[in-house]
Amino acid sequence: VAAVLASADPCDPQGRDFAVCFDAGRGVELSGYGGLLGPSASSTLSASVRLRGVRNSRSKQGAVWFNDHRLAHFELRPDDKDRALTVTAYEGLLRRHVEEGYLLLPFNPPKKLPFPLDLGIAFSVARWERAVANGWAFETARVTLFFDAVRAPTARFHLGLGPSLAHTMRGGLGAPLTHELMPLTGLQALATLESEEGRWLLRAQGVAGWTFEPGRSDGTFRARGEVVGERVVFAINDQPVAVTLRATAAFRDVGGGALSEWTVQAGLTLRLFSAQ
Amino acid sequence: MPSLLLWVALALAAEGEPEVSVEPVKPQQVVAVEVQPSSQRRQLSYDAEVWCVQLPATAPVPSGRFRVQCDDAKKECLVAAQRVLIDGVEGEEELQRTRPCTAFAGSLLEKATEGFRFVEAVAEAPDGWHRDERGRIIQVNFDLHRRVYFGGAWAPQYSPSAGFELGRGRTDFGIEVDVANNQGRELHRMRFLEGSVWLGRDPRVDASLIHYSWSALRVSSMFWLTTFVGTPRRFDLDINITGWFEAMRWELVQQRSFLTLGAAAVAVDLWHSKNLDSFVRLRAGPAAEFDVQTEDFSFKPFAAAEADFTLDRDGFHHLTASVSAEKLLFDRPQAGRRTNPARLRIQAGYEVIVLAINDYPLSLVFDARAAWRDDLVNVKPGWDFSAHAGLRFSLWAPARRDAGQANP
Repeated sequence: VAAVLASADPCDPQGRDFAVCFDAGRGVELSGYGGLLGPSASSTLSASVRLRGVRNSRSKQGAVWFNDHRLAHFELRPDDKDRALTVTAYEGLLRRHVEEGYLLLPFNPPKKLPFPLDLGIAFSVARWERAVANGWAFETARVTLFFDAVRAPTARFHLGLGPSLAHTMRGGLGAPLTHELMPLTGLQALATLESEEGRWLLRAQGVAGWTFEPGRSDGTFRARGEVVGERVVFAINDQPVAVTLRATAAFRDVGGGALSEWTVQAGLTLRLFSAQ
Repeated sequence: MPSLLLWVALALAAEGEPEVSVEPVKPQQVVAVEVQPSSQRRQLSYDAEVWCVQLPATAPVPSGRFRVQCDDAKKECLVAAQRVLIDGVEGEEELQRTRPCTAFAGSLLEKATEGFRFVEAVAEAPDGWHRDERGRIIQVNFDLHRRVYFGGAWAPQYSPSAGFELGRGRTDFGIEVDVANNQGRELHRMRFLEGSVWLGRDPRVDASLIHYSWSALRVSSMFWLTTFVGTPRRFDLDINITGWFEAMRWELVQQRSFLTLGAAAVAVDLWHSKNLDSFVRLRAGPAAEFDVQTEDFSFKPFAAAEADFTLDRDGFHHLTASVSAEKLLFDRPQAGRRTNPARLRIQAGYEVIVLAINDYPLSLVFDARAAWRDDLVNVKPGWDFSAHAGLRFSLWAPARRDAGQANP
């Protein structure tokens, strides 16, 4: 980032300053999309707060924690025919990065084996999904232990995969409330790729696996995922606006009825207070 | 050579404060002062140092007190009496609004020997003021945005339903206070107790307790757009957003009273003059209105376009125009009128100063107004038109902030 800042020309010929570098992991994010929900036209409005932090480990010298947080994520489909609201109280990704990872085997003498992965943990707390025609689903919490093979020394790159643990409730369609558990029987994947100056962004995440209901021995396979690509095209008073392409898909995992759906959308994202 | 040489004894300037009595000293030498016809007398500059000198008595200036200002480049000194002249001879009245003068520490004789000319002149005057050949001071530049005014006008009215009403009058009043700060980069406009009262078949009142708005000359643009397609480039958007507020506006019409408790608007200056006195702007915002008869509160969004131009440097000519629209929402339904009624007002006016009494300007005021409304119970919605011609007297009205030296 320092190199970019040094090489970029932050001033125009008239000497006016303006921001050219942004942090996609920080700011108040407001988005509007239009596109397809299955075969039908649909639109989506989204708002959330993103925070990003980097800190050295207090207990392990040489280890660095890259922390991404997303708070109060609201996503609304306002159209009458598919009106739905999804609210997620908190999503977080904490990745512990070390220069040289290793496994220490408790032999005598102890033996160190190379471990070329960063460890991380992803959280999602209180995700509520309400669709007018499809009941509601409430994912109480999801925790994923993931392993990052890229091991980038920056928060701008993540590529992680790991087992996921989650609890979900579904209801609202006249049927009894159901509880579902994913006891590390699912895999969650996370990928983040941001350019140094923060004008390009690619994010992808997905989870797939079997959920189980109390009293039933057979599991149900469910999956959901999202891919988002952004390009900052202009900024108003140093607040960047990006053209955003987004695709989502869910298999037996939407709302109280556990429906399947997919969307392909394009829109604009305004990320306030993200200028570096 | 139009001038006549008059020998006047000039002595060395005495020590001491300029505006206090100075002990005359014995003349050491006489130097010549060129007497000028009154029409050709130049004026001391208000921005340059002025010396007070005590001279031996002369016929036109028996006190011997003079103001002197020298220009080294031109090798010339302008000389003016310290008192107002009456029939060419100084009287008892001291000059007013002169700059403080300092005692001359050198020798005017030395200046004479260096080749300086001494020329009879008129004493200096501050910006916006003129000093005549007798030395009297006259204000010739007026800021009508800083004044306490009142006036009256003939105000005939026409409406399609009631026809013409010619026997109608209007009285105006108000206090205008414009305050500039930040080296003139901000202008805060305050209006107190401003309004009009119409007397006639349909008495009307339109008056507000307080009103505030501001304009600003910004060092840098408030809004800018940066593009990131290719080399990042910045484009400044010249949008000048300001504010407009009003409290306690009372309107009496057709024996109905409406009280606007408070109004706030975002204003955009589409244009303003460099000194911020003149502007064209749009404003829009919400207000709360109280219907005195029904004791009902309404939400009143409004929008307006308005312009105020001071057309000349000395502030004699003023042009105003405005178009405003407002609508009442959440009002209680009333028999005999529509729900959510609206009002539209259009106004254009011209004010010109015709004379000043003791430096307080008296101006002629002309304006025309049109209004459409459907908020009056049992009154058919429609337009009414009025024209006004009258006089307005303004107290205070100092010289404008950017008044230069008078050039009458």
